[in-house]
Amino acid sequence: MPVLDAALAGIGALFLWPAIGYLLLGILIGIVVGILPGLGGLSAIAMLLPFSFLLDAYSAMAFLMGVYAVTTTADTIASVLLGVPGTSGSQATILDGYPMARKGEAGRAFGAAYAVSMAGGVAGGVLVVASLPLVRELVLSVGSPEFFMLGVFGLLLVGALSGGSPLRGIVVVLFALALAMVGTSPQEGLPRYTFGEAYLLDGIKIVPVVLGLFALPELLDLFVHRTNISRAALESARDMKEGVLDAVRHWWLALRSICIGVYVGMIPGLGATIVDWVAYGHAVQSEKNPERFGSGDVRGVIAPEAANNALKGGALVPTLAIGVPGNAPMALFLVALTTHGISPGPDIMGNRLDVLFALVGALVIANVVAAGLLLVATPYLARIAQIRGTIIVAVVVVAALMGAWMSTQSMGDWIVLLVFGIVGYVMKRWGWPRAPIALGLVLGPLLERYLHLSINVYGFEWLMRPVVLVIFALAVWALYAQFRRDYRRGRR
Amino acid sequence: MHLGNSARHLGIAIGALALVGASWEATARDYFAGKTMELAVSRGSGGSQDRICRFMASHLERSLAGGPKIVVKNRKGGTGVVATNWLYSQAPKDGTALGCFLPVRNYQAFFSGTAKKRGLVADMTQLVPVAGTPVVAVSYVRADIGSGIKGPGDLKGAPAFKTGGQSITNTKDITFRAVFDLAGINYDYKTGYQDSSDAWAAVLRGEVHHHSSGLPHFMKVVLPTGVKTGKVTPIYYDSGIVVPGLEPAVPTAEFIRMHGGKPEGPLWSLYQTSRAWRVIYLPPGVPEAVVAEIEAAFARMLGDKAFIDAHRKSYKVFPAWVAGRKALDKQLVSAYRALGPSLVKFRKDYIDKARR
Repeated sequence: MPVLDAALAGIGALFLWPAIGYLLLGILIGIVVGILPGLGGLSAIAMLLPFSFLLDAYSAMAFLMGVYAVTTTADTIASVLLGVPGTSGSQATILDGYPMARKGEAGRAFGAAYAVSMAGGVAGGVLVVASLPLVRELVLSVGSPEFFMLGVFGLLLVGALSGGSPLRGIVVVLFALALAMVGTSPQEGLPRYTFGEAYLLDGIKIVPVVLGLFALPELLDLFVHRTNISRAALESARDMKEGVLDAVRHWWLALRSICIGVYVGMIPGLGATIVDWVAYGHAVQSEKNPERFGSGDVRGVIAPEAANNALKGGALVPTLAIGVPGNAPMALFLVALTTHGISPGPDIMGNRLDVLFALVGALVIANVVAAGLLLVATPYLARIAQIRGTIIVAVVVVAALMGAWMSTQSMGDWIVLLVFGIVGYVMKRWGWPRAPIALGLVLGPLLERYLHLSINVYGFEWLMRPVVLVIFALAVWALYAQFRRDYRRGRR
Repeated sequence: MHLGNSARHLGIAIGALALVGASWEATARDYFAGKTMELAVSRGSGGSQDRICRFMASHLERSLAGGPKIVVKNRKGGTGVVATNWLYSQAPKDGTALGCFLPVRNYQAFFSGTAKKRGLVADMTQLVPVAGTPVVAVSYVRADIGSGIKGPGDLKGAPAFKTGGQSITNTKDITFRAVFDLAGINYDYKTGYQDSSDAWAAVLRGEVHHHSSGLPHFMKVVLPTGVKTGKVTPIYYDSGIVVPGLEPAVPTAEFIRMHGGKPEGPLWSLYQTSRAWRVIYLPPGVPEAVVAEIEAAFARMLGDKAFIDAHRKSYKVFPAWVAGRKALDKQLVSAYRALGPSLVKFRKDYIDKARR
């Protein structure tokens, strides 16, 4: 099928009834799922997948893509207003989003977040189509050694996430890497450091840890000081427009974050949990006045929000091109596709190119519609920041407990939440950086798995692979740039 | 406690009714009507285990008299230990709780005396299997090994190739190692891939040359993107009978014989006791009449054309599920009982060999 005909057929089909109806329904469900902490696109798609089997192929793709595309747009609400990540893709957003809400700039944060989320979703879709001819080579050029080196590169973000205390950041990330070893060893499949606790067999879950580290200390703060979230006067719709203008002003950062999102998405196995941290770390490393990050800088919202939406387009690529899901929800998309008789690989890239364009079209439309709906709702949502602290504390407690519970639905999640809440409070009080704990927990399993595979499969020859050397050189350069900047700042 | 008593009372009532010849169908309808049942899944949402268990739950709802609602709950952790322990010790014993597990590693741990180390408290012989299906894995290799692999026989004399597994204790790893060793095939064992998608990507980029995927992954991903494009060749599958559509692959025993080996001895026993099943269980202590009705519901479901068609549409293969304790005990539990002390030691040594 010629490419243009396929594009017209695929995108055109989305505007026909009932596909358009299911797309809009999916978007609404995705927004609700994104707003509720702990529920992510994966849970929603897993629950809705059997229903999609009853629909025609276009309606099913539109419906599922509607849900999937917008969860990381709507999740900003909980991250900014409550300091609780709405989904695992918006953990880094709370670092600057919540302080913005406390300064009375929730509307501005939402404006910026929705603008870049929309741009990320649209650009992600466009980049997917543009990358298709190269995708096979790109995805297959990244093997276990390259994955390991990307993990090392990610670890270097610790400097950027340490709030001006790199030594403390290193100590914290080493502690987190040790924590990441709790669970079942990837090579032997045997329990390790679990102390006989069945809950720990699958390791320490990132969601209750992040909720404990970031949400509980803020909660305590609100409770003790008996203030509302925003200590400033109620903002106007102008603040929201200011946020949109912020996104335009920082277009270069947004574009870089979008590229990070798309290409992290294209590499199977990295995914949503890491992309917001990578984009945030990159922003701190590369932007001027990095000391402003963490205290309510809009750039700290722009980077993760642009990346986590762009990731979704990127994750489509390996899923459709070679049948390797870019992330967990994509594995469910594969099931939906094959149930409708569409196979990944040559089938969808050749005979059913219309379905590919329908998926990309649905991704783009969903991002635009969701951002529009949420922008309209922003002035009302921002009022939450004005509600009395004692009332909001109850809401945040429920949100944090619910978010943590969704990890494994066991008491262990709440214990982890509580333990890391105490750890987070102590760290906050004594000025220790908390973000490197999330970084270490996310990267630890990846580093261990791919270091083992690199040595096991390639011996020590893996160190001489060209892409490994390039990533290593970039890592050294990034480290040098970081030290040089810290040194210059110290001299000033 | 209250729930346990009411279950017992209901069981007695049901038994009494059966004795006086009342229609069990009507009783079952009354018993399950308006009830909400739970199906505990041993893995997280979204994976193949979760999807298959949800699929079974949706069809069981329609087959059970009284039309109860079945809620699926993911109780993941410890590759099935969390869900199994819950079903054994905490689940209500009135027939409203079921578990959908891949129990092979729990059986191995239980019969080999390593249950405590694994964190397993359930007595695996007390759980009541009501339906189950063997998990068929399909082994495939890159077609560009040596002078080219077009069929399972071409591996004879081929240079050593790298196999990609998940962990040295993983049942799929143990089974494919056993098959290659029984067939006398040269291979270089590499393991540590997260799942079949991860290993499949490694096969595509040439990092390893072989992997063994579960049937759904094979049919939906490997077949269209690897077999039909000539990149990989399926060589054998874990089944005692020929499965149409997997050619040129052959059943395991035939593959071993094809290469001059014999499917017998401790390695073959190890292979057989390592093969995975997907099983739906009831906890111990459920009244007999309730167990019988749930078994009958599964039997009705497995013969239902709507179920068969939906299964074929979703999984591309005819359903190979078996219903009832007797059949499952014969095919499943008794096979694991073969894990006596000598086979347990053999298994441990075989895993240690891979570690070295």
